[in-house]
This record gives sequence, C-alpha cells and structure tokens, in this order.
Amino acid sequence: MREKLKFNLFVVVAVLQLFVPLYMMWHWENILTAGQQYYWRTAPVDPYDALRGRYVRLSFKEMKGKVAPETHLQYGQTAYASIAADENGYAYISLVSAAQPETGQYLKVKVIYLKGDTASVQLPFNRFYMREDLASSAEQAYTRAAGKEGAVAVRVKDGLGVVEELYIGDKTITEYLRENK
Amino acid sequence: MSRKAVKWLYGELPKLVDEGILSEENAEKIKAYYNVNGQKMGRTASTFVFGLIGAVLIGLGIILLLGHNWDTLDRVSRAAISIGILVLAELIAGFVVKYKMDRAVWRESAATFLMLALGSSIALIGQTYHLSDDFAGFMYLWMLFSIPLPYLLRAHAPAVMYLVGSTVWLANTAETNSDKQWIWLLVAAFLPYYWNLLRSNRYANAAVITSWIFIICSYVWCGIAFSKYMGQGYLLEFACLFVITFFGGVHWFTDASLSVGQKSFKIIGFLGVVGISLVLTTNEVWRNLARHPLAIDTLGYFLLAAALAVVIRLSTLVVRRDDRWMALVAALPLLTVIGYLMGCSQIAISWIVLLFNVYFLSLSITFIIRAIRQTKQGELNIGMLMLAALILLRFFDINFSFILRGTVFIMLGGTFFAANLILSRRKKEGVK
Repeated sequence: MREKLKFNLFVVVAVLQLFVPLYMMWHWENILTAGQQYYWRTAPVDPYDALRGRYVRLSFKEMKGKVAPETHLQYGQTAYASIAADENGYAYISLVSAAQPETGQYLKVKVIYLKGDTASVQLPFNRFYMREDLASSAEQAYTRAAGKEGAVAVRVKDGLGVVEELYIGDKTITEYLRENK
Repeated sequence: MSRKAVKWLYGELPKLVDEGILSEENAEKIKAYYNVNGQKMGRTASTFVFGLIGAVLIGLGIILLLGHNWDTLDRVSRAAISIGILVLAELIAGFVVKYKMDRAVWRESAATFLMLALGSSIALIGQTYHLSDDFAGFMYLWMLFSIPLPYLLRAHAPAVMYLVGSTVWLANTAETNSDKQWIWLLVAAFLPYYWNLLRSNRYANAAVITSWIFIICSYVWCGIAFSKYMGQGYLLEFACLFVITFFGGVHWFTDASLSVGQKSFKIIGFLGVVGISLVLTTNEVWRNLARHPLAIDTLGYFLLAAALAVVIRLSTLVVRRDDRWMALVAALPLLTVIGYLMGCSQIAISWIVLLFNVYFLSLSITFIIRAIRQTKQGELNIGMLMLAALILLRFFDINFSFILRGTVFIMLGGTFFAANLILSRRKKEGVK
C-alpha cells in the first residue's frame, strides 16, 4: 500500500515537473506568435553563462522615455513603458507610467535612472543566445555595427517581450557571419 | 561497523578467548561475520560512489552539450529535446520507485539525474526564448520542484544539491528583503527529511555529510535573510547561533567514540564560538558599533530574544556545575548583550574591549586546564593556540617594543613545549 502510494505520488511530482518547462514554452511561444513585432536598435557585448552557453548581451539605444504627467516614480520600481515606432520603423518608449496602460502596446520595465521628467529603464530582455563558437565573432561584428545598423526584432504582448532575431542591416546575425567569414 | 572498529575487535578477540569470556568457536564466528560484512560494505560503497558520479557526469554533460546552443535546431526540436530529457529521467526514476527501491545506488543515481535533467530543461527554455538574466528565478523554480526527490526516492545526493542550490539562490537574489524570506519555505520543505535522517541514524554517512552542509548553509540563510532586521545585532545573532550549534552537538551527539567527521555540530560550533569571541576582543568592532546608534529592527529584537531563550534552555541541559569551560561558552551571548549595553551608554570602549579580552583569556586557560585534567594532548594544543591567537592579535593592536614582542614570542613557544612535555609524561605515568 505504502509502495503504491509512493509511486502514485511520484507520478504526480513527475507531471508537475513536466508542467514547468511546458508552461514556460507555451507562455513564451504565445508571445512570439500573437505579440506585436518591433525593431529595437542595439549595442552588444559578450559575456559567458555557464548554464546556458554563450549569448550576446544586448543593450539598447532607446531606453528612456518621458514620465507620464502627475506620476511619481522611484528608483528601482517596476513601471510600464508604452511602445511606439518612429518613421523608420524603430521602436521607442513614448511614455513611462506607474499604472498599466489601457491602450496600445507596453512593456513591464524597471526604473534605473530618473532625471527631470525623463526615466531611464531596464527592458525585460537583454540576451541573445548564440552557438558558442559564433558568439565572439558575433560580438565583434556587432560592435562594429553598434548604434548604426544593429537591431533586434522583439515580439511584445501583455507587458512582456521575446527577442525573435538579431539583425545587422537587413541580414540576421547568422547570415551576416556566414557572408563575412 | 567502521574498519577501525573491526580492527580493534580483531585485536580484542584473542584476549577474550584467553580470559575464557568467549569460546574459540564463537571468536571465529564473530571474525567471519565482520569479515564478510566489511567486504560487503566496501563493495557497496564503491558501487554507490561510482554510480552517483556517473549520474552527475552524464547530467552535467547533457547541460554542457545543450549549452553549445546548436543553431541548426529550431524551436520545436529544442522543445522536444528539453522535454525528452526530462521524460527520460522521469521514466528511469519511476522505474526505480516501482522496482529498485531496495538498491541505494539506483535511487541516488536516478534522483540525481532527474534533478539535473529538470535544471537543464528549464535552462534550455531560457536559451530558446532568449530570456533575460534571471538566475535567481531559475534556481528557485529548480529547487522548489526538486524537493520531492529526496523524500520519494530516499536519495541523499539531491538533498545536498538542494541545500547548496537554495543557498545559491538566496545569495544571488537581488529582490527585496521580504522576497528573501522565501528561503524559509525552501528550508521548511527540507526539514522533515533532515529530521528523519537524524532520527534514523545520526552517525551514518548520509546524515554526517548533510549535517556539515546544513549547518554551514543555515548560517548563510540567517545571515542574509535576517540582515535587515538584525542591523548591528549580527554579532549577538552569530554568538547565539554558534553557541546553539555547539551545545546541540554536545547534547545530541553523545557517543564517545565519534570520528572527527561525525562531530559536525561540535566542531563548527566550537570554531564559531572561538572565532567570534576573538573578533569581539578587537577595538575596531566595538568602535564601529559605538559610532552609530544601535539600529535593530523590532523583529530583530524578537529573533534575538528567541535565540537567547534557546541558548539558556540548552545551557541548562549541557552545562554541568563542575565544568567551568562550558559555563564560559554559555556566557558568551550574555556578555555580548552586556557589551552592547555598555556600548550604548557612555562607558569608554576600552572597558568593553578589556571585558572581552579577560573573557577570551579565561576561555583559553580553562580549556587548557580541562585538557590537562583529562590528559587530552590534542585539546591542550588547541587551547594553547587560542591563547597564542589572542596574544598575537593584541600585538597588532597595541604598539609594543620589539624586545617585549620577542620575549613574549619566545616565552609562548617555551610554554607550548613545556605543556606538551608535561602532559605526555603524565599520560605515560597514567598508562603505567
């Protein structure tokens, strides 16, 4: 009886464990398919993460926006950044507010710096994972292109964003590296 | 039974036969019994260790292979690999739960592999969707969903990994103070397992290894999770924790023939008591403390009061009237409270420093006297080292002349030799 109970409990635990990666997958996949696409200008570096392999650390040109009127923000707090696209199609933060916007796309961000009526924020995505042997050449290529023609495609939905692809000019980083070996 | 004990028993058997206590036949039977058991134990232990190392290596190997980040794999195949590894590990563990629960090596290897597979599966999702740097979140999720494994598979390696993982989470979480308190949920989930381990056999290898890691981790938990409440009360906090650990060891680990490894509570507690007492003898600590007003949160006061209550309760259990040294150890938290009170009032810091220097001096001297009375040479040398540490530390604080320093050093060395010589002579006389 005890043995049987133990086995049944194990089955429950196994299902719960499986639920963790499956739920995560569903959650992010949903944003990738149903989220709105934006292009965000970047500048990367390349650190090493022992558990997840190599990635390009992304930092963005457009990381600040005007604070919504009559909003008092504090350093380190979670805020909502409304997203819009400029005439070239690149994303920028149109407004930073403490309350969740009712219309339009927005991202849940962390306030990292406040000056006057402008808030600098930390975006909820900052990594692009690469094959370990490509990451460092990706970094070099991207440092050359940083701030000029580098951008990431991001899908945004319900305050969350998932990085879809990393571009140099109109090519993906993998294509670019293949052509510029 | 340990190899050492079996060897001792073998030496005793002929004497027992000579004295007529055991028959020759029974002596042979005892010999045969322990010989077989000894060999069996050795073989099981090596299978066990190699099985476990194998599981760990395969698990880590998979993590590293996935870390390569194969760009030819699309999201669907990554998902399939991620889930596939987890399912495989679960099937193996399920098989073990159903058919192989009597084999420790199966239980340990399967549970360890499953724990690593769960971690790599969650990490691979993070890689696939380029999730931002949330190492703490990853660790918490991993630990929370791994804790059933030590219970369901009676496996100790995942339990140790869980302790370390939980501590790594706490050390890495950049969240607010209230979020750090989630560590107690992880600890609470672990305690019934640890309690069972101690209850079934506190001297067995699994309990011994878990104890060492548990004690060290618990200091990190208290240190980080309570840091905001404790403020400057951290010295009293750790004085209490070390005394509790030491007295816990004295009270619950009473077997006289314990090896060094089995005395985790006593050894860590002792080192902690000596270390923090030595820190409290320095001028700098008290000057820092007096410079700022005593800032301890209300909850901090409550926690310290609770810790002091535990110290008092344990003291009534372990301190015998004739054992001055133990009484001195029990007095450490109380003296620290007095030190804080003196620091708050206008009394000069040098008085507090003097108080603790006298305390540490008494602590070392009573320890030495105790060692001499019990003719324990090892303990004598530890006592002498304590004394030497105090004297050396004072030499850095106060400006003495080179002549005085040199003389004291030579005297100290001479005392070491003399005390050891006297004790070994006594020992010889005792044997005669």
